[in-house]
Order: sequence, then C-alpha cells, then structure tokens
Amino acid sequence: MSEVDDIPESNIVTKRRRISAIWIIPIVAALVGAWLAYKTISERGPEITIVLHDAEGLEAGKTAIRYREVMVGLVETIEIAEDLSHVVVGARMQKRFARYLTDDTQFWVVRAQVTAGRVTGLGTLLSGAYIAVDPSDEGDPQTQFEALEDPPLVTSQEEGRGFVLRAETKGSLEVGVPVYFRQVQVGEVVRTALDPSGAFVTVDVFVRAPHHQRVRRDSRFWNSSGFDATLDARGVRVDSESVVAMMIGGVGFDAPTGDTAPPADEGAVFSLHPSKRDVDVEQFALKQRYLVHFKGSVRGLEVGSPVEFRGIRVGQVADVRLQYDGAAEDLSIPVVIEIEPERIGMSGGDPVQAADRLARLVERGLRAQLKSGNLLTGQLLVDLDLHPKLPPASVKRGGTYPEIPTIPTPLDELAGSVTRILEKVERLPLDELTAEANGAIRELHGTLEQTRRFTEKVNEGLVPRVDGTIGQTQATLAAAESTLRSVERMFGAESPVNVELARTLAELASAARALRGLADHLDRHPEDLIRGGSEK
Amino acid sequence: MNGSAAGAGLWTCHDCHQLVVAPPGHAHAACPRCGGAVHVRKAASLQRTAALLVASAILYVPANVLPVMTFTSMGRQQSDTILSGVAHLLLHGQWPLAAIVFFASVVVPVLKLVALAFLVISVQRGSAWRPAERTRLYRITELVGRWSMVDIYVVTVLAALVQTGSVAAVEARSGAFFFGGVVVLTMIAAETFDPRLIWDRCGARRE
Repeated sequence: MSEVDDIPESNIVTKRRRISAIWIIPIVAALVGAWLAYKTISERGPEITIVLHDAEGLEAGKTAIRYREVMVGLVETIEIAEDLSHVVVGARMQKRFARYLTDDTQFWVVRAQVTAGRVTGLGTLLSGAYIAVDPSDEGDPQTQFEALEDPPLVTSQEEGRGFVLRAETKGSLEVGVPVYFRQVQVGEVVRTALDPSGAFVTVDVFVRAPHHQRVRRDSRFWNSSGFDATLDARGVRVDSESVVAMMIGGVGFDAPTGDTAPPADEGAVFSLHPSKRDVDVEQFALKQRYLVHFKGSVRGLEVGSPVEFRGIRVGQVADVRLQYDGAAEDLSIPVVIEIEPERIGMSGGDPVQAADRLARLVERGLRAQLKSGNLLTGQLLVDLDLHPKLPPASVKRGGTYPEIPTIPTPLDELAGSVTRILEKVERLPLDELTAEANGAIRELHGTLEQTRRFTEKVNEGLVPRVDGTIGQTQATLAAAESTLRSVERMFGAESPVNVELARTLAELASAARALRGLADHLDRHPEDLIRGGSEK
Repeated sequence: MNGSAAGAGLWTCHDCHQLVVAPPGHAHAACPRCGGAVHVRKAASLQRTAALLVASAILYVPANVLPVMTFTSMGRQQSDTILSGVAHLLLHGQWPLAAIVFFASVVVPVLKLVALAFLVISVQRGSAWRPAERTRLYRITELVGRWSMVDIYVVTVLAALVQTGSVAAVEARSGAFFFGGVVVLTMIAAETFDPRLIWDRCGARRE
C-alpha cells in the first residue's frame, strides 16, 4: 500500500445540491418547443376553400395567397371536384387575415397575362402562379370562395367611381379597354355584359380618382374604338383617341358644360354613343323628317349622307330604301332626310312654325337635288336650294312625312346629253370612212413624196441659177409687161386685130378642112393628080 | 469495485488526472494539486446525460419540421426541411448525395439519441449485459456524432457563398438552428456520459 500512501488525499467538498442544474437545458428546450408549437397553432388562420376552373401553375404547399404581393396564406391541397367540373383548392390563411374573408372577398389566380394594352404578372413566369386576394371586411364571414376567371382590374381599395354605360352593341369593348378624358387615360372598362332584357349591352367602367370628378351628369360617353375613318361627302377623316385606342379600342367621355354640372354619382347610367361624331350630332335634339323622291340612281347616297343648303349642312339622310308602289305598279326610292332646324337658325320658333317656313320656302322654289359630294368616292349629298324660276310647287303632305319636291340631278342632265352625243357618234359609218380615209392618205402620201423629190431637184438645180437671173428676169418682165400691155391693147378681146385674127382663123380652119378633104380624096384617088378630077 | 481504482478508494482529478485517495463518506472532493473537482465517476453523469438527451429529443422535432434553408432562384422560392431536401436529391437522381445527407442528418442523430438513451437506461438499471459491446457502442457514438454537423456546414457554406441576388440566394432558416442544437446537445451528452459506469456494475457483479 506504499504506492497508495503516496497518493495524496483529496480535499473534502460538501455536496451542495442533489438535482443537477443540467435539467435547465431540457426545460429550456421544452419551453422553446412549446412556444414554437403554441405559436404555430395560435397563428393558424382559418382554412378556406377556393373553387377554380383549373389549377394551372398552382402547387400544393407552395403556392402562396398574396395581397399586395405579401403572402397571407398558403395553398395546402389541390383537389378535383367529384364531378370533375372544377378544382377545389384548400388554403390556410393567416389569422390576422381572418376578418377579411367575407362574401365580398375575391380571389383570382395571377399568371403572366398579356391583355388589352397591358402585360401583367411577368414575375409569375419565374416564380410560378399565385392566388391574389382582394379582401373586404364587409359582409358575412365566409370560408368558401369561387375564384374569378380573370383578375379584376379594379380592386376594392382603389379610389374612384364606377359608371354604367348602355351601348347598342359591344363593339370592341373588352374588359380592360381604357377610358379616356381629353385623350388621357383615366379608367378602364371593368365588365361588359348583355342586359338580361337583351335590349342593350351594359358596359361597366371605372374612372380612377381624382378623375372621377370629371364625369358630370351631362357627360357624354362614346366608343372611340379603333380609329374612326369616315369616308363621306366631306372627304376622309380619321379620329382616334390614341394609338392604343386604335389597337384595342377605348371609351371617351367629355363634360360639355365643365364644372357647372354636378358630378355624376357612383353607378350613374349613361348611354354610350357609337362614335364621337354621333355625340356631336346628338346635340341637335330637334329633327324634322321629310321625304324626297329622286329619279335615277341614288348610288352613293346612304344613311348619314349630309343634307346641305348651299353647302351648309342642315341635316342628314335618315333612310334610303326601295319601295314598290302597288297602285302605280312601279318602284320608287323614297329618301327620308332629317333636317335640324336649329342648324338653320330657325330656333326660337316651335317646330310647327319651322315646318311652315319650309313649306313657304318650297313655294318660293326650294327644291331638293342630288349632288356629287366627293367626285373620288362618288358620295352623294342632298342639296337644297332655291330655284325661283321653276314652276311653283308645294310640300306634299299626307304620307308619313311631308315631301319636298325635287329637280333632276345636274349629273343626270349631263349624262343624258352625253348619251345623245354618243348615240350619234355610233351611227356614223366609221369603218367605211376609215377605209377611204386610209386610201386617200396613202395617195396623198405618194403625191407628197413626188412633190418632195421635185422640190429637191428644183432646189438643187434651178434655184442657184434662178437667183442670178432674177434681176434680169425682173427687168425683162417689166419690159415684157409693157410689151404685153401694148400687145393686149393690140390683141385684146375687143381689138381689131383680135377680130381679124378670129376671122382669119375661121377661114384658115375652113381652108384646113378643105385641104384635109383634098388630102383624103387624093389619098383614095391618087390618079386624079394626073387625069384631073372626075365628076361623080 | 474490486480491481479498479475506484474499488481501491482512488479517484482521479477530472482536469489533471491526479490520482487521489477518496475521502470516505464523501461523493465530492477537490484535487490537491490543481484544485479541480474530483469524483469517483463523472458527477451526476447519468442525470446530465439524460437531461441533455431529453433536451435534444425535444429539439429534434422542430429541427425536422421547420425548414433548414430557403433557396431562392429566379424568383422561385423553395424552403426545404432536412427530409424534403433528401427527397429532393433522390428525385433528381443524386442518390449518393442523398444517402450521405440522410445518413449524416437523419440516421446519425437518431442513432445517437437511441444509443445514448439505451446506455443511460441500461446503466441506470444496473445491467451487466455485454459491457464490452456497450462500450464500443459508446465509442462509435462519440466518434460519429460530430459528423452530423455536415448538414449545418452545407447550409452555412451555401448561405455564405450563394448570394447572387435574385438569380440564386440561399438563406438559413430556423430549422438549422434547432438541428445544430440537437447535434451539439447530443455531443455534450456523449461527453458527460461516463463509460466507466458500464463497467462498475459488471465489476460489482463479478465480485
């Protein structure tokens, strides 16, 4: 035990505690674990189901539900409905978000989308689709939702005002089509739907704050879709709000009286005019319809063609149609024109008076006439003018509309005379004439050629010599002239020489005849030269 | 305790390993040379090991439930727990990597917990069953334990290196901290366990 004796004795330490402090560690771990568990459970928000058409791009456990790009929930399950008609997505929302899950809350899937004039959700190309929510704390709490097919353009948080437009046709008004005020985009079309009655299309638009103040009770909305190219009697006009509107359409509105009219209320109903032009036309509320009958073709005349008085527009054509007149067994083309008396300064009086005025004008020679408005396009217009020299006529009443008498179109008259001339031309024996003319021309050509050759000869041979002798010739001619004069005096028709000469010549002629008789006789009877003439 | 130093009433200092004569009737003593604590065996070894094991078992739950890392690439964000990471590797055909991660991050911590728990319980119950094998088990446990930190290393290295903005970014998540806690606590638990306790009972039995 000597080795043991060398081992020093340990110092005595009294034991202080029985339970080791090490247990603090598992207690802390347990506390942390418990806290984590509590936190997880307490933050578990409500479970909701969202019904979707399809689950493209969605993944259970990964796809987030986001509000303003902040995650507020997570998709946990994706299942197909029992009848396979849709997809049911189960999602866990954050607890704080629970109170915003009501009837009015909307869900939709955000994917990369290229819609009218805008590209959205490009980020989802990389990160995958997510479900967006437009929360609302109004309405009853709800745990089952039906997702929107398309993202709403305007969420409940956006300031502004919605209005309802009534249109005859939808045109190119898709959801997302911009709304313009003075060509500035201030809102969008958020919904288009056929009215249950089927009578018109309702177009819901949303105008963002502060521009919603611009929509006044007397504002007028029009469809500025595409570009409004008008090819009429006044030529070509192109109207458009912007290039975007040209591509995808748009809705424009104005405020004709500015701020004097009160702002329109939320959900106010306006009618949507087919184009800006129609808005301007609409300004003349008072319209009077008249009937005119034209003889001849009305090609180029259509509904909307202008009615002018000496070049100033007073209305437009309201209707052109072919009508069979049963009594006369004839076809006629009644043209209904709308005259806006306000345009012709007839305002102030009531419609009846204005009509009377027109009747009086007709008695003074007012006539309707078709005129070419645009020679290029062949558009026609109805021209009213006073023709005082014409036999008197009056407004025919009795039909649906009073009828204004017409006079033939200047074009018609012109066409008539041209036709007559053409007929005469047609009757000419053009073929024979042409053949003869051709022969004549050929002969003429030969003659000309000869003349040309002759002229050349004369030019080459004669002219130089002639030049030299002209002087002498002139002198000679002068002498000759005087000689001739004296000769004329001597041998003129009345001169004795002439008379003598004539007598001499006559005698000479008879002598010649006698000589010829002698010559003939001698020819037949040469013996007479020797035996002398024998009497027969 | 015959045949052992303890049986002879001799203890060693924990710090300087000075052999000292145990004070009779006392469980605690101080080293006369360095002043360190001297016990016959590591003090409250079983209790401490058990406590640490309990703590690490508790932490093991969040370590596996919570994501250890978030990988953000081209706007696509992906959070992975340890197990989902393994599943991911398997799905992508990286089965050797998956095996390593699975072994280091799942098998080893579990085995460590189970092995230490088994040792603690068997010692507590005074079992004399195969002390040599149990000692070897302890050795393996202690040896292999540090390798469970592979996952944590991977996460820390990735989080430090992969920070290229929106193209790719790796972030460590809370699961990693719990997992680290599990690994550290099991290592400490293995350290506090005194393998001599295995033999104490056997010695007693043999006597």
